[in-house]
Amino acid sequence: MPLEEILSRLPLKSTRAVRSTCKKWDSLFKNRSFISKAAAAREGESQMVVLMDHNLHLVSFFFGSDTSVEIKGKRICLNDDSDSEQVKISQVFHCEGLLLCILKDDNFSLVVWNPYWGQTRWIKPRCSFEIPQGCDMYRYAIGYDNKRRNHKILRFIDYEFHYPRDNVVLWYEIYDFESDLWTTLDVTTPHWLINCGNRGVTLKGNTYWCAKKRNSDLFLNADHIICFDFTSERFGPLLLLPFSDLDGVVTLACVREEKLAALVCHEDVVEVWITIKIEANEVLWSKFLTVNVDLGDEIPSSLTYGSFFIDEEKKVAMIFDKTLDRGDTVHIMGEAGYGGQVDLGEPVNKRRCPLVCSYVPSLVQIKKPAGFQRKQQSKLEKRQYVRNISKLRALKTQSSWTLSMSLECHQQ
Amino acid sequence: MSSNKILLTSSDGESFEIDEAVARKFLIIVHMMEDNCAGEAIPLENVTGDILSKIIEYAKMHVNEPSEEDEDEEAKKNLDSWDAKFMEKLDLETIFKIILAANYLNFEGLLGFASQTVADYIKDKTPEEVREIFNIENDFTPEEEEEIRKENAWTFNE
Repeated sequence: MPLEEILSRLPLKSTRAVRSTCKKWDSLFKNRSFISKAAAAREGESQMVVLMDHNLHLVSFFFGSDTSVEIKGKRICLNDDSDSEQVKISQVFHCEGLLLCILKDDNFSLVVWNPYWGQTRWIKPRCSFEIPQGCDMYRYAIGYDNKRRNHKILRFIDYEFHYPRDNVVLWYEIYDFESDLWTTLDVTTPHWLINCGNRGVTLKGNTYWCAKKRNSDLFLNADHIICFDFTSERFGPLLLLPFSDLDGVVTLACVREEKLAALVCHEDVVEVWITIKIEANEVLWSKFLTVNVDLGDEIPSSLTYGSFFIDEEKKVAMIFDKTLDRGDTVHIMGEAGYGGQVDLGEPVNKRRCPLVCSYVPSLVQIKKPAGFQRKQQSKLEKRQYVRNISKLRALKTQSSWTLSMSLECHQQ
Repeated sequence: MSSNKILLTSSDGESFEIDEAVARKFLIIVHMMEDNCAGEAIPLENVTGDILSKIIEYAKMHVNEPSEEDEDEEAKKNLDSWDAKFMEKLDLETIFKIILAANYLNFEGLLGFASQTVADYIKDKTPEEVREIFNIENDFTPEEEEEIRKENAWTFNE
């Protein structure tokens, strides 16, 4: 019994050594008997995962009369320190203790990671599609089937490169952790448009994006949200965002795994709303904060693209941004107005804003494939795959952009 | 009430007379007293005399534990220093026995402190070293061990 008292006090980096000691200790880590005291947030502390310099950092914020920040750890690879340098992460998404990391490699590999006890699982997409600067044209989400508690990844490319409409590239795929298969979703005439670069937020196993109606004005900002339900594997209806006169880019964040928050910054006013009810088919909003940030040059224009999180109890919003000299910083917005900045340091990458996602330690295990009972893709799926690959290839020759495409067939 | 004495008997027959305030550090004693066992010697079948002596020594020092609101930084600093010296003198086997006894006595403060000491000691050790310290046999096959190694390759370097 007291063994758990010792193991629960070990830092996260000791997990692998302890798991490797014997089967009893390994099962202690897998059973839901305790949460590591090292991983648990202390009172007044908010723990976040922040993507900076293509790597993940565990960052703690302490709210008080003076808000302070502590970078508690940086993701490393235990197998070989040079591997830490090789792996570059371009995007990260959180789902109840799991992090979906999109790697900046040739195939935009996916890694699902539980930082609490260190488990990783590497997943290869069937194909990738990028422009020469290396931007991944896909959108990603991680969620789970509420009935079977089975995790899934949604990945889609849905973009109109040029008119006429027959240039639309549209391919929605879902990956099932248990079957280890990618399957094409039956999405042919979506009523929504999720803009490229728009990040989804997962809440209670489902993912929400800012979106707009399919054939609305090309330059209209997203004025709705839409939900993808990982249980039914369907998108819900478009639900209105709460901003009355929307003229800015809205970003979403998760609040304590219970609510969504939506933020817009327009003409020196930051406005934040949170949901008081949120389902795939219905949403009710409540105003959380309005802050006038007319501070001249102190707030760069890139604020409109920053990710953010809120502390509901303290009534503050923390918006991640670049300083004027391209350092990474966090703006503090509260009921008293603009509360200053907290610096996160000088990144090597001067162009990218830091990207925050909420994080809660969790004992959830990442399912492994079912082994020898591996299923085969249906003939319909194979035909859909070939058809979509052909579309992507055709677009490569049609488009005025120089597109590169790498294909790997992982079937059979 | 603080002048009352409690008599504790270890598993090997050694007797310790301590103030009730010190004995109240052990929740198992508090529950026994609530069940009206006070006045007689309290037998502790699972704790030997040498270990019980150490635990009582620690409990006496912590009987007037400064509360979190206590602004006496000097007292807290002195107590931390005493704690560190107390633990430094003990070998690992004795600390393990203290953990088991503190768990049995339900002495939360010492259980946490001793457990933290062991955690700090093993946190950078290899699996082989941990097995040796805890006298554990490796029941993994080499393949299973390699699978954990790969599966747990990533961590936050704190």
